[in-house]
Amino acid sequence: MRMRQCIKTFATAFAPAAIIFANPALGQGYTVPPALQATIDSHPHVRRLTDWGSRPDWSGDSKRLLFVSKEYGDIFELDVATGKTRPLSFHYPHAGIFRAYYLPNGDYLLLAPRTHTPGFEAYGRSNDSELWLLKGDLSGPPIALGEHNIEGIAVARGGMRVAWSRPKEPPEERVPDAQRRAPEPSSGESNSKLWAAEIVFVDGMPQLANKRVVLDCADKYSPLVKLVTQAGQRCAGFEPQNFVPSDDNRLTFTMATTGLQAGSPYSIGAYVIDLRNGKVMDLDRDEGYAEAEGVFPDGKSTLVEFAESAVLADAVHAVDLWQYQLDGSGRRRPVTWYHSLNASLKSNQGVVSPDGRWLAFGVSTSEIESKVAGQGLGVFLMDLKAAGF
Amino acid sequence: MKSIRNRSAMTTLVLLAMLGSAQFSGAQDYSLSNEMERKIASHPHVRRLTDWGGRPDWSADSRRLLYVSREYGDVFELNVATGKSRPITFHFPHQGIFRAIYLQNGDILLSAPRYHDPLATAYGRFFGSELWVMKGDLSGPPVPLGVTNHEGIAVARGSMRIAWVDSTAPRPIKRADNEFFSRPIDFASLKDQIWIGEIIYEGGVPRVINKRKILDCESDQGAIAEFNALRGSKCSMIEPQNLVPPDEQRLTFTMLTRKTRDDGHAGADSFILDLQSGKITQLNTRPGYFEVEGVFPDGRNSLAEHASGNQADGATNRVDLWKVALDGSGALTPVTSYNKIDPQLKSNQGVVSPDGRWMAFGVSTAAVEQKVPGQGVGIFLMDLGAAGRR
Repeated sequence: MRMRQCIKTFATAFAPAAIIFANPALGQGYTVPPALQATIDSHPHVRRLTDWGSRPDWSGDSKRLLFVSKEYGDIFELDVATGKTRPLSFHYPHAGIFRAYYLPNGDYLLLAPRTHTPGFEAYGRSNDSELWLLKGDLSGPPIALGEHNIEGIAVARGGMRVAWSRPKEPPEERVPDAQRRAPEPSSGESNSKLWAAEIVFVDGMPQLANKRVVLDCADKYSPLVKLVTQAGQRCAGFEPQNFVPSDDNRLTFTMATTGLQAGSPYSIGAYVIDLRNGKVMDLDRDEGYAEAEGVFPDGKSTLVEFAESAVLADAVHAVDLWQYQLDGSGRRRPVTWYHSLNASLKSNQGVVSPDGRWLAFGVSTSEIESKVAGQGLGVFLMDLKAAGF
Repeated sequence: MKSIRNRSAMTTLVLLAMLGSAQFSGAQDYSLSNEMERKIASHPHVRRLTDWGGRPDWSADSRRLLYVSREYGDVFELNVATGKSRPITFHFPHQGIFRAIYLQNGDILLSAPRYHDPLATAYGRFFGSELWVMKGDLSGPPVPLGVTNHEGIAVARGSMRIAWVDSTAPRPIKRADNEFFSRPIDFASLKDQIWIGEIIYEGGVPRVINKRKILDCESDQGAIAEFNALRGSKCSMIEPQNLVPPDEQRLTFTMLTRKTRDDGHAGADSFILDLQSGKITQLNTRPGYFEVEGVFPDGRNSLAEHASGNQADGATNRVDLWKVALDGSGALTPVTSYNKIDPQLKSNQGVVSPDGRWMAFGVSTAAVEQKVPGQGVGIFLMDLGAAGRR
């Protein structure tokens, strides 16, 4: 197990307020200087698809991408071949959307708050997000599925299965972002759980059926907690990433851990669990910062946001995308290397198309993310075949 | 020249009633059939700039367009030459924006609510909007001007003068959209007034000075009252459009009237107000729906949304853009003709670039607008020179 401090997307719940809040005091142009832009453009086998937006998700035919305009934004669908975008959330009033995913039946799964209170953006991101189903024909507003979640969720390609983590229980005190403080490291036992369920339709109305806990930080008899404990660590929280094709019986996820002593820093690592037997494998072998991202369609490997930095407050500013084997061997291979091109750059949010040919991802700088929470320089596309993957 | 609406408050009166029953009754895809797309693309001297968004406004150099993604949306800036859009309201939390207009000094004027109740969007549009100034370098969140408004704003090109509509009537109790649609608010009771003022900066903080009322919809005295007395009508709503270049001593505006006698006049008409004399002149002499839109930079003409008939018989679903003389002669020249190409189509929100060469505008259908309030099928660009409409 790793011993490191982290500040990252999934780790926003563990991050200092100064990082997770957009800083309106800074200049807010979202562009980068021409020289840095040229550096971005120099990455081989990559072209830019959009100038804004993030968190892409591939359609089943590998031709379209869902993305969100911004945190608390709208969702759009990009036709990769034509470059045209179409809005999917203009037809009903809403309070902003965090993330959106294709469901295998053609509908969309949204993560969005019911309300958006100005000044409570960070609180809302951690506590107010709910799961909603939006019909693929946009024939109405989305329908709430009756579950809150925190950060990303996993959506199966081969069935209507989803997995999510619930927000902290009991809920944290509702205070404005300006008064919100990051929790102290190792502030106590975590009761974080990762849930799974199937979306079913009853009289045309979607609902979650067969809800079950698949990971539980407090279950000291589970293989996962045993693994964590043996390493002298404590489970602090989960973010699911992907059901692994082709049978969707494994789940990749990211876990935050802390040391047993008070004041221990948080660490972030990537894992895969076999949902049939509960067996867990540490994918990144305790090295650096590792957050699971999109799985490859052959089910043999996954993308990981990885940074080697030992100064882990810096790691979040240095991540690039790597391919990690799902066999627990720890074998990895770089996929993007923006941070090597320029130390101010990073790449993240990688997702592989179902046909295995393309990688959609984001490129950003820490400066931009400090200005616009969750925002990068747009959605980018790598030709994985040309790049030798 | 700026501050063009696709759907005025007047139009909204009609559309809201339709929305009440139709809002979620059918598929909500915002796209059109291939045949309809082909018809749209057939309009001469026009090319499509975006596939979504509305309410364009030209930059002073005629190279960029501000637009809003949707009602309660974000603001983007489009580089017309490259076709690239950049978001300019992602850097601060907000509740959605109605309109965005370039100010003379490079800053941006926003019309936006402080709060957004997703269940009361129509109420928020009419009674929740405020004016804000956002720095052109996006160096912070917008600063409120302490001015409430509804619908469009006239923004000068040559100075920091603005004109807006506010109301002296108490705000009605907030209504959810389902009540708003089924029991429309009596807009005649809003007591619209057009105000004018100048934006100045004190210690870097913008505020509006020299605020003064220039038109009063409700008053039984003044230019509007005199005008309506002759026509057997009464003002229901007014909306400013443009301060007319080059001297910006005239203001174009639209007025919605209702009858006060059986042979009186009711409708939406376009006017120009001389700010020095207080004289108002009607721009349209032909019957039908007339909503004034962007002014031409030579100050001799304005665009107007026009269709025969009135709101009640669906004129707002048929409007196209016309060039109307500002001298009161009533001279009209058609600029767009989408409704002739297909009766489902309309064009609106026309704004002329400061160099006079281009017109940015919206194309839509009633069906799309019913699905997505305020939305069309994108922003379009007409070469006015090539079209012989400069």
